[in-house]
Amino acid sequence: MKPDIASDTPVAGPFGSRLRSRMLHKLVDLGPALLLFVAVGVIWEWSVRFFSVPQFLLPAPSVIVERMIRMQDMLLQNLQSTMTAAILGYLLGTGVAISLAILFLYSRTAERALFPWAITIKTIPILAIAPLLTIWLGFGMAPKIAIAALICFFPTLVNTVRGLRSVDRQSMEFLQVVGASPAQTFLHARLFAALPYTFAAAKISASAAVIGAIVAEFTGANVGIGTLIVSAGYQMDATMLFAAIITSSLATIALFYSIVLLERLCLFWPEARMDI
Amino acid sequence: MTRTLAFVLATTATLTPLAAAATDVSLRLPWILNVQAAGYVMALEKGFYKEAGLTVEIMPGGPGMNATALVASGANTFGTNDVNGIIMGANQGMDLIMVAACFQRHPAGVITLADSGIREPADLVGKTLAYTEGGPWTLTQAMLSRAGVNVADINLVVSPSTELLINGNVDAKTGFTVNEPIAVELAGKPTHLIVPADWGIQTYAEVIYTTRSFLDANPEVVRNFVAASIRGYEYAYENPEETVATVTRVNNQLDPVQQTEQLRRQVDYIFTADTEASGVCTLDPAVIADTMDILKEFAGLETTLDVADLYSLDFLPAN
Repeated sequence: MKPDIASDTPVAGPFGSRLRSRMLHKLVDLGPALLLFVAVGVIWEWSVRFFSVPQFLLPAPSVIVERMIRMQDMLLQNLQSTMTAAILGYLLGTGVAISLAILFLYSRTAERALFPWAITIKTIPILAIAPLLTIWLGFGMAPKIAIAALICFFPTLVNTVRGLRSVDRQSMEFLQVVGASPAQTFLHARLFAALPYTFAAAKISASAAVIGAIVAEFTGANVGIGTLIVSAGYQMDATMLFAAIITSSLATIALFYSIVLLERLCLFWPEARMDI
Repeated sequence: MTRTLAFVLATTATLTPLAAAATDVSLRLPWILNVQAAGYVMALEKGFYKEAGLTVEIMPGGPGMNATALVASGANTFGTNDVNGIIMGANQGMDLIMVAACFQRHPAGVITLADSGIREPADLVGKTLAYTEGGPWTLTQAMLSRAGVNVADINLVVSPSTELLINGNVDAKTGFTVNEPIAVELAGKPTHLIVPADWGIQTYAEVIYTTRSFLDANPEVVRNFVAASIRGYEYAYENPEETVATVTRVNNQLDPVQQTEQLRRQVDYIFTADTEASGVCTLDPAVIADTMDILKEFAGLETTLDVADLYSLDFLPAN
């Protein structure tokens, strides 16, 4: 069998050195980010000590990390509630947005009628409406899911509408020539054209959904990262505040990268891969 | 002519430094400006601060703003807040000291509709109570505990909304009994109030505080500020109509009807038997110690603070 000389892995090497090379690549990729992360941490820690910044204004990273480790059970328990609401809300919001985008594709009237409503929803200050949603939807998960859905609905709608209409002229003409039905056009062209756009919006919405769940928790929940933030505010505990924020940030980053992974799986054709 | 001119010049020369000696200070309120701050607003309006040699800027607090941290960091000179907030702040390393206690009792408590039949803490068993993390909830828990009621026997939901009470979604809610019930009553539903202050839970709803470092460097300023504020309180409650007019002029988003009623309800929290004896805004260390015990028991406060470090009695006007 001809060795694959074009690839950058050692020819006829054992399985071990291929793996090592991939890991080395990964490290090179992640290197700058990790270095910057550590540098920021070190500068933060040193500045707090050097300028004697009081803990209630800005706690040092070492203090925050110590608190996160000590309170990990409580942090994880609250995180679970927030992330469940965020992910469910995210799926709901994305689902509704994609459905509406497809509807708009086939009915300009629907688009003209409904798009202003979509914009109106986007412009409502979430923090103001959160207590009302708690009254209308009851306590517990429902208002959190609703708010998370509301927040991530608009970017996905706009992007998917754009994406569905972004099939290039040549492909459209070809499909017309071969007599493809609307359904076939959709499945063979529009769907794939829309995917990169929808995923771009999905990456934005993921973090927005988590923030939506947290905002909902400020006014109508007794468990979740939002409640930890409220509690930290009442007790003037800046360390707890940072611990809660960093915990939810880490989870959101994990969610973000899961979507990136999913995107890599779905966008398997060469042109789509160019920008990932 | 020359003698008169010389006299005028000499007087001006000696008086000018005195006139320019007014100290600039700021007062940060714990919430948006309303009649709760009537004493300070009127002290400013009627020139009591000016007479005391102070130029005071009154700045509102609000949702999401940590007024206590602003004072502790030195961004503002004075603040007003309840004792809970000061103790929690001090526990986080804020260098705070209380010098006067103008709200002698705390109006936080449980608000319920008059026709719900809930009259005392024990009546809450089996009912639905809406609460949010904060002073009213801590004090309500203390009240329930002292009344022998187990919190687990009450259906708790988390929400700040007064609408829930008006619509009957919940049987009771925690809150501030000098202003929130007014909204309910204006909606046509009479309320009943269960106030921890009536059930043996004694704490100050509003104290004047500053940082110890400012106090040590400027004792006269602190003394003058407290004295002028007390004059403001006395004036405000002797002239309620003028007070409401002034407050609603400064913050025109307020409803004068609601503010008048709130001011009226606040009287009992400021003028008590203690203030008759010892003067308005008098401070009793036992109350601060009590509040710390309540926080330790009901708000999970873990602290090595010594109560004696948190207040000073030396800045109240001698009675």
